[in-house]
Amino acid sequence: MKPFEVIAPASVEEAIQALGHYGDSARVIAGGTALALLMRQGIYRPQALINLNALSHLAGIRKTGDGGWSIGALTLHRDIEHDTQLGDQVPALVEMAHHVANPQVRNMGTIGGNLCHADPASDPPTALIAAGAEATVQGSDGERSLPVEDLCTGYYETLLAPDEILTSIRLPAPAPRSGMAYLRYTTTTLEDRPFVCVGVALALAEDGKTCAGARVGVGAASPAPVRASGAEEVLKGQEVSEDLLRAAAERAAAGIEPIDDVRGPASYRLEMVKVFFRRAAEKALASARENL
Amino acid sequence: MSAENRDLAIVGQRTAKVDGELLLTGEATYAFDITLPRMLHGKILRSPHPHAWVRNIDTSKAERLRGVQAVITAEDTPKIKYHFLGHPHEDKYPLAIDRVRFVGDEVAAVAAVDEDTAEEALSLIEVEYEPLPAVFDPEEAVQPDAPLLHENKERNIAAHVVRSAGDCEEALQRAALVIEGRFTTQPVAQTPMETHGCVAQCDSQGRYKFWASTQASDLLRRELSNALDVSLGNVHVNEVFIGGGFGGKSKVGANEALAGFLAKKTGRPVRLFLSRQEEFATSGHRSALKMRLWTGAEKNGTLVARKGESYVDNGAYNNVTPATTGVGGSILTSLYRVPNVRYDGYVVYTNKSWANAFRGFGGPQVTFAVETQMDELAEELGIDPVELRKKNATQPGDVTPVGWRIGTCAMKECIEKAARAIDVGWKASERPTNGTVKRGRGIAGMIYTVGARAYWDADCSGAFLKIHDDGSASVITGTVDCGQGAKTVLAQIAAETLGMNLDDVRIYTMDTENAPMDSRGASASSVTFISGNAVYNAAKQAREKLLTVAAEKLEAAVEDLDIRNSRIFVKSAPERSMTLGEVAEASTYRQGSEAILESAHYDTPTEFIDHMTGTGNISPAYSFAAHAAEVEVDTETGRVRVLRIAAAHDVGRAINPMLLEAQIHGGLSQGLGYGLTENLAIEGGQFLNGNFADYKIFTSKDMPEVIPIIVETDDPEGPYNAKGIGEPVLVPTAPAVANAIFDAVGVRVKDLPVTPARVFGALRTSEGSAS
Repeated sequence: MKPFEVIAPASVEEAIQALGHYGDSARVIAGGTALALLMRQGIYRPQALINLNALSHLAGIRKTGDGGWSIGALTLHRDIEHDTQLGDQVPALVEMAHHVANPQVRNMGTIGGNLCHADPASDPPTALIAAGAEATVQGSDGERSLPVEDLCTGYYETLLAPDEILTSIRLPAPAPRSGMAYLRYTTTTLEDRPFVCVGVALALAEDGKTCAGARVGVGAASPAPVRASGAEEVLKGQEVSEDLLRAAAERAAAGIEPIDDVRGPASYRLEMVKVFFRRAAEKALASARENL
Repeated sequence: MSAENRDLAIVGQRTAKVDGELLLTGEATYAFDITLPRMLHGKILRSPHPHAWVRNIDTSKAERLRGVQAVITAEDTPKIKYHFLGHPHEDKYPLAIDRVRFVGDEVAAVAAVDEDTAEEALSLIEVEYEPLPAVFDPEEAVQPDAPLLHENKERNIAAHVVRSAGDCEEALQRAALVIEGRFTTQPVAQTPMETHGCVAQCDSQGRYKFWASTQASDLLRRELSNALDVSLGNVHVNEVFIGGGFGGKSKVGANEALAGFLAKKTGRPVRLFLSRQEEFATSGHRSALKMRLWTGAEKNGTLVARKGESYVDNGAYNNVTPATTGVGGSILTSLYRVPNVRYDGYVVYTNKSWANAFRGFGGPQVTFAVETQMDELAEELGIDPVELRKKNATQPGDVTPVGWRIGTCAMKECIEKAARAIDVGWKASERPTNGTVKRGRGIAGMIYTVGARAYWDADCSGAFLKIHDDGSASVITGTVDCGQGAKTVLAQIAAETLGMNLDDVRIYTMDTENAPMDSRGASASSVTFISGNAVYNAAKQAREKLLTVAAEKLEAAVEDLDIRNSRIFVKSAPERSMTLGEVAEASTYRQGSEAILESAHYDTPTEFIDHMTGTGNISPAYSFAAHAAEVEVDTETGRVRVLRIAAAHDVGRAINPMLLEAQIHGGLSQGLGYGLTENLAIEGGQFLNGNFADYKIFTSKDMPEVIPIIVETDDPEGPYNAKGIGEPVLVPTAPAVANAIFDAVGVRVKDLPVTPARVFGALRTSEGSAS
């Protein structure tokens, strides 16, 4: 590894300035669980790393006035995994965090780092898409917010400008009579990265049968996680049935340009998107029914 | 040795590892931990091309980098092919001359004051390559228009291995049923926790010292003396702890030779360890093969013929693949009783990293195919798969088509016990019918050697034993404990024989200057058998001397004495006794004293393999086993979960049942990975998954319930009647799982690994053909 500088900004503004100064030859680092690997393999050779760990206000999970949540970018996967309040309200998200990599990584890795690294074979983005999460980012031009499905655009690519930093993630309050499920499928060992993953949040109408609305995230199947709005449209306003879920599954898969890699072929990925969409939807439905 | 009649005090006990505390606290010093004064760090420059001429290498910029002490290319070396000690198979230099043949081929090496500097120096070496057409598939590489990798190797065939007995074609013609099939197996990595590496030193007298992560120190010394072009006596391989090998460290590696050259050139110690990525991509893997197999049987299930033809992916150079292909052929022809056999194994060069030894040495590949067809045969003939195997099982006294003379053998019992442990022959009515997830059970057997007189006409090991004045013993052997527990087992054998407390025995290994000769180190599942016999013999001699001294002091006849718990006593009057310390002092502190210093050498009573036909009774004993697996298959995804594995092993006798079970657990994790998850993905010669994030070995989360079954047959030649266990533990695992998958969902996948996508595809195909 070639020598590099480590910069420890005292504020987000300082961090943004440093990013502006170094451009592509610097990265912000928090847990470093992904970046350090790229550096060790010589894939990325930075001139400088901007260590955000002094910015402790960027860590933590807070309830917001609107009944939603704010999750700081520096929040560890481990903290999400163990947050009982969040777990009461959005159990699927906490359960998802429990399956991120392994305890060592969860103790070091942050949710913000995970999103900005934009590894397609990753759990959090897909679950957050289903949960309706928005990312708050700050740059030299000020602050903006964008849906998580817009943030990740491809293999290790995001919409962040070179001098922008993700500061927090906003989660809306779950809709009434709703339930959410997140399923990850691995083709090799259980602790492998997901081959496909699907998050489904589904709200029922007052009749307890009609789908009032749904949010569907599909990840690890394509270079970036996607929101399967086609599948959402199929579900919305319809009485939920086996056939309806099957039709929605077809739509969820139809929007995917699948990856072909060591974990399995593209055509098989599409088939698994359908299977795991259906299973996640059934699970979300069951939990929505409990909330009637 | 013959079966011992007396009660055993230490052999057969579940004693903890003799070095357990050192391993657990991290005090154990591995080669990886060695640092020496003025030590430099070595790195290797590797080819980025699968096949290319090397037109020019300019090292001048690298040499000028501050902190760089040496940069070497082939011109700085004696240019000796180093994998085979002069055998015609030899084809590889430590550093490429003129031409590179795989991505990762060694081109140059650097020694610098630290790893980062060495790494930077590599980036400053300018190599002019002229890319050549490359070939990556063994079946394509034998085509007439394929690019050739080596001179004088027509159609890229490095070796053609034949095993033949009886009239195979005729027997297949008249067989009532012939099962024919095509199988493929994948390259898999040994994944030791400690990568290949060493520290090398060369003093001003030209003497080399190595601290190397190796499974075979004595062989490494021979190979290094050849590669470095110095006499054997000028290479000293020291004892260190070894962080796993699994076959991959049983021969010299380029890293060791290059560290030696760099140490010589700089006059300073050089540390050179492979990175994890290099370990995956350049240190050799289990060979992949494409195979056609025919099994012929009578209507009653009696096997009459088996024929196999394999194209084995050798990679760019010969390492052990001609030998593993031979062992594979011998296993293919010796598994179950088959009178008419034929095997043709074509070892074919491709522009990929070379295949190496990996636990099982050619056995897992062919066993997968043979055991799959045993199940198909049972299915076609309407015979219970367990009964079919028992009917054809090898029995004591058999001589296999390659001349293996079977002594102790409990193959039938292994099959019965493994099958019974998880009720392999369960009825359809007993099966859970919970929707889309189906359950199945399957079985597979195996045969394996214990040692092998195959590399050269030697299969031997020695032991020095010294009785100290306090009555304790040190035992020095040339073998290697690479984590499997050899030191513990050898200490148990010594302590049992001497009547000594286990704590009073200290085992030293590996040190080529101070230990007796050892022909193979920790390989061929033979340390317990071969080194164990040497240790036993040395201990037996020491025991006799101790008894003789004690007899004089206790005024009793030698035959009236016994030794237990480090004390010699008169059997009829145990109160008349001396500690071994008192006996040792009595022996040495007197006029005309005699020190008890024993040495022993054990050579197996075997036949040197006939390299043309592959025949000969190469092993002093043969191991047998059967694995039975229970799986769950998700029919919507094709994903397989292994619930239980019963592993019944004929081990002769268990010296330490706990370590033996540990071998079974560890071996199964590798066998299951081979069957289901592991695959070195190589595309266009490039490794796609040379890391643990993408190359998936079984973890504790994935492991099924393991039911180890130890079957004891008391081998008359083995030390305390033991045979071997190291490799058999993973040989039949993959086919047992594949057969269980068939039992669950009725599809057979004949390509390893049995991935969910393959099961899913097979399920779709069978649905399609059913509707």
